[in-house]
Amino acid sequence: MEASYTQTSFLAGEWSEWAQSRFDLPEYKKAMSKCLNAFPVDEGAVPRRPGFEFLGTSRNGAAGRLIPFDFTDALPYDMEFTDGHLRFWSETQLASTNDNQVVSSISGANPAVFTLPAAVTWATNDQATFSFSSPADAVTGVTLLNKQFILTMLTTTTFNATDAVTGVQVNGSGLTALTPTVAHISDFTTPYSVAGADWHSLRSVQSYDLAMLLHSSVAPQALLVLNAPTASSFASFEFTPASFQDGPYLDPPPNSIATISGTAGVVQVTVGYNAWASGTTYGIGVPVTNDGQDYISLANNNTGVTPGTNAKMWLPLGSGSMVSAKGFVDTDVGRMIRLFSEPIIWDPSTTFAAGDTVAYNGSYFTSLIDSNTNNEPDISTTDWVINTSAAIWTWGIITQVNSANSVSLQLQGANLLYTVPVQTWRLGVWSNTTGWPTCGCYQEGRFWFAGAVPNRVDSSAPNAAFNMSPTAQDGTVADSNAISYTLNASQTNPIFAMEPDHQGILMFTEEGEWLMSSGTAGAPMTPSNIQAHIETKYGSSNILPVRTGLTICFVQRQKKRLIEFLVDVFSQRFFGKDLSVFARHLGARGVEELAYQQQPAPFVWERCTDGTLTGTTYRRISLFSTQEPEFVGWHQHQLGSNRFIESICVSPSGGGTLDALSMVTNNLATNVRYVERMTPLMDETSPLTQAWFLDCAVTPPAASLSGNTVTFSGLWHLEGKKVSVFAAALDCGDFIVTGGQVAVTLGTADPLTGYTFDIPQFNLLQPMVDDFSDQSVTIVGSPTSYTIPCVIGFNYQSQGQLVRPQLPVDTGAKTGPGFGKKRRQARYAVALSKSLGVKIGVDNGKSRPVPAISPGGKQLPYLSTYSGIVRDTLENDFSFDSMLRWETTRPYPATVTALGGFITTEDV
Amino acid sequence: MSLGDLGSLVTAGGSAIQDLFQGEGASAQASSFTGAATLAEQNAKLTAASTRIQETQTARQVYQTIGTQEADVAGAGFTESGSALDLLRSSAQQGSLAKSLVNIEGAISENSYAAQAGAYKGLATAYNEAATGDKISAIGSIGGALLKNVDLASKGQTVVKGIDYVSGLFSSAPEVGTQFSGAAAATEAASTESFLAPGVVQSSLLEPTGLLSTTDAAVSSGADLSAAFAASDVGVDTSEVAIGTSETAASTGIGDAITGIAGDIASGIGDAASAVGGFVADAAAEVAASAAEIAAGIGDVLASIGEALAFVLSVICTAYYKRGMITRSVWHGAQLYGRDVAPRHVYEAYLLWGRPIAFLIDKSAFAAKVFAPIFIPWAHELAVLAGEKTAKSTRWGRTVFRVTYAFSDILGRVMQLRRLYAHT
Repeated sequence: MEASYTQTSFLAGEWSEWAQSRFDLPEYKKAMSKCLNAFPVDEGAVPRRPGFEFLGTSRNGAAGRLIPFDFTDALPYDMEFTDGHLRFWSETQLASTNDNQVVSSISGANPAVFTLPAAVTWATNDQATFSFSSPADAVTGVTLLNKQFILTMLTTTTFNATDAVTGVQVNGSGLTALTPTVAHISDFTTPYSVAGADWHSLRSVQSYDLAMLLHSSVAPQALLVLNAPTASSFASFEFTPASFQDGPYLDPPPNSIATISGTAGVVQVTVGYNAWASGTTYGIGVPVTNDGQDYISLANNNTGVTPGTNAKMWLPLGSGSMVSAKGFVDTDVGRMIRLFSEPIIWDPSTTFAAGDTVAYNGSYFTSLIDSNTNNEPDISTTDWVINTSAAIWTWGIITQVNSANSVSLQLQGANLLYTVPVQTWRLGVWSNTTGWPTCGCYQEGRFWFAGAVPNRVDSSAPNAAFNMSPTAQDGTVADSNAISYTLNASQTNPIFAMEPDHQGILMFTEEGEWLMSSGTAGAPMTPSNIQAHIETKYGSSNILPVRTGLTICFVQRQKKRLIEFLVDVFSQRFFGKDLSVFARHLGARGVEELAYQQQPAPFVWERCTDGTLTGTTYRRISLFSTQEPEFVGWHQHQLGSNRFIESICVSPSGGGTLDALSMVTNNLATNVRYVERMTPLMDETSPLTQAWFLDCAVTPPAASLSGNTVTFSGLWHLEGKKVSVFAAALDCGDFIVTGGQVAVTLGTADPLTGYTFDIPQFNLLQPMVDDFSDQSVTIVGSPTSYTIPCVIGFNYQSQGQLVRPQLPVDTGAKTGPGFGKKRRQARYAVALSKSLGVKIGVDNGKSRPVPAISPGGKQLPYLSTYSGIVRDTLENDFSFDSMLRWETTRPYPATVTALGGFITTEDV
Repeated sequence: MSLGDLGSLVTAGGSAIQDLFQGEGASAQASSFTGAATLAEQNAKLTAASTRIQETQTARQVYQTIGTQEADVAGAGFTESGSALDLLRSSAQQGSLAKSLVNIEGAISENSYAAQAGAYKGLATAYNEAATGDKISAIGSIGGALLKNVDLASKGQTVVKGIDYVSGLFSSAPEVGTQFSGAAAATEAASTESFLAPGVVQSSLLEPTGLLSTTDAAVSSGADLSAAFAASDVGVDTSEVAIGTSETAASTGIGDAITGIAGDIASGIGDAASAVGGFVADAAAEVAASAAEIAAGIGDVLASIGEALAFVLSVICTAYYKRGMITRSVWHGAQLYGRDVAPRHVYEAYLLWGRPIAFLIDKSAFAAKVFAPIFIPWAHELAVLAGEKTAKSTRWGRTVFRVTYAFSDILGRVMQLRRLYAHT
């Protein structure tokens, strides 16, 4: 007997084979066996993934990475890092320096000489883009479009231009009549390169318009927005090394002193240990100096044994051992040293004059009288007066390394008060010798840094990004001072990431997850009110977690699992849940990078080790650990270009109404990198003219009509590739790009709808140009030009497949579940929304197109899509699976909102 | 002697008595300050011990604070590094400061008490000197007044007669005494205030009290040891000034008395002549008025000093005997007269005015010589009256005896009236 079943939600996403037998779970009814290039959204429907728009190549097509810089929602920016360079993508455009010039003339020479009307400050090897205001000029000068050019400045007003990817210089032949607008690309030189300081591990910590860029081998760099962007101009930036002040520092080396040559300007600082004294008892590990040689005690109760005479009691040390095994090295230049300038220690046998200052029992006193001998300062009140300003901390930067134990220090703080040896001094934590912070966050007005030293965190002073002073000048520690702490961890491991949370700062280490917070609820963290405890021991990989609506998602240490991390509202304890438990096969690819997209649906995007992309539609509403997330649905994505994804990031789309996923892809055959951005998701109100279901696609920068052929030009990045043309809302078929062009003959029929790519359709489109302005191209014809929507790029296939129907109610089995019982589905019913070109099948068998006809059986009107329920027959035999499958193979929109079958199950 | 001179003499006597009591008060003050100085020294020692205890307590608190911080750091999940060390170092430094502060504050308190002790000692010395000055001043006052009367007596027989007459009136006219008593009672209140008006020495001795309070204020504020020392120095300096002032005042009192002799001789003669020659009829009323005034003032003094008079050391005859200016038999005879022959109230009155003079004689050879023409014949007269045969009775001696007896009789009766009045 035939039974029918329907799956109305697909929010459980794609399940691994290991999970697909869990038909005992409620979520089984929402699961899919496959979800390729499609994703479930909040409502439960599964729309196709939108295509990716090609924004441009990375600088010179080199390997690169995108990092969001969201200092404004309306005009979002992504930072593009390539070797030694930083550029900015503002939505779909490369940010320029806002000094665009309209070229006065182009010579007909090869290479062409471009002449500008006014002098510019551009330099050779700077880069630029060209644009035309006239579609006709665009056709003529299409060789200048959709490319980036390296400039060779001949004078301040003339230059040659070379294609940044191909290296071909612009030939002026045929361009002399043109006056394109040239935009100088905003480009900063950076210290990051794959060969050196690899930008792959670069992290950005942002506070409004200031981004602190962190890398283990490069001093933090500060990127500051100088001028906010407007509708007609890009933002301008300043990119400089972060100039930290007075910290952070390591702890004072024990029993060491620093001899200084002066009190102001550049002083020579020579470090050493206090001299060995025969009457002193030394413990194990205490270093001393004797006869110019440093030693360390190997025993406790080490008294009266002269260093150098007993190898079992004293071990010789190299010079500068309090700094490192090699002492000071050249890479210490730029490192900070903090010195505590104190007066000499009071000695009862010394005679002091009036005004002399001494240290005594931790306080400081100034003599009131001459001939002041053997008067104990703190009780001889008529002989000494306490001096509260007799000792100060000051600091400087090493400008030169003189020897293993001596450096030149440029004082940055106050002048030293005395030339007597400094008993307490501290060396900067960060340097080119010791490394730099690798991760951080911004919380409660402080920048927090970690990663340079395992388990250690440092913060700036509140609302003072570069002030790292640990104390006031007199040593007082105020709440407003910078903070430095080292986690009391059982293991030594670096902190991979820091995420601010309402309870404090979550720190992700290989060992586990730590929460650093104020000791008092609601109070800010201060040097004296702070605590950190390990919360969970999942262990994190060195991948930046993402914050979702209520949770933080991070990649577990082995990079295979995605963990949601949140506080249980009942127990107030953090807990984590494996979100990839039913999609182990996708997690097995390995995760290299995460990005979170809030709109149009909540997605966690995972860039996989194999260069593919997976996504998780994920939302949690309940903060009870006993409850599951609202939905967790995995989906996988394969680019139509089959390119290797090297970087992903999410930032707001223009206007801030949606989020958009951007990425850098690599054509492994050419190693040219492309910057692509996911186009907006078509919803049920979007017209077909806005459909964009092609990857690495563009709206061609130029098009012309000649005879009955429309030529789309400027497709340089698709050269030699087979592309699909979706023009005038019609599938015009596949073409090979030659010379940056494809030619579509008028009258070409859409195989699905039957409508032709022809003038009548063009005319129908002219009144609705505003609907597709983001993807419109003007076909320059004579005498008439037409503006139509057009997208050209790589076609990709979207697929979805249900899991096996197993429950009696679904299969119609009379004796228990349908498991192990052969079944066959003769028909299906599907609910579609704004769809075209959907095919339905069973298992791996042949799929049949869903008829593109109206519910009344009539042909759909031009520019129409199908919304409604379709029921049709299927081709399949009895099997144990009988899993319904749908697919879309052409660049049409498709959204499945429900799918069900009419099934006959053989009870045994 | 006119009645005005008699009043003047009595006033001087009262002033002398007042000075004497002031002197005794100053002595008491000196004793009190000596005690305070001793206490201050003890406080200084206690403060030193207390400071050591506080220092130890502070050190323990610092140790505990740092220990708590170390435990807190570990409990907070951090190693003792970075900000933890900064905090510990800051706490240790704060502890050192606190410990130093304890020491310094202790030293300040210690020094303050020492300064206080010094100031008290200085004030005690000042009051001792002032007491001496008061007594000398008292003697000067009475001596000067007596000298006036001596001169008057020696220069005018009329005056002597007048006095005899007045004396007779008192002894023979009880009704006049009754009137005098009423007058005395009526004018008592008004007279008291003027009678007790402070003298020069008294006002100068008040100053160190103010300085003491200044010193106390400086010390108790504890703000600045130097300031305390400075204030203390000022106190000591001012005490010295006070001492100097009292000495000067005493000298001035004597000087005034002596200087007044010459002037008073002439004026006394005129006064006496005027009183005896022209206004005999008004004598009774004059005596009543003057006596009332005197009686009221002296009554007050006597009422306030009560039994304290017992400390007076010697009387006139004894003083002259000590100086060898009368024989033992004369001295003995005079004593017998006073103790056994003279009425009690006369003897008490005599002690009142005689002892200051005796004190002066005792202290000053010059005063002894000045008073000798008056009191040696007088002593002989007393001894004669007591039956001593070696004594010589002279006319002058008898005169002096009568005058002093009359004065003592009046004074004694006033004292009796005063006592009676006080009891009722």
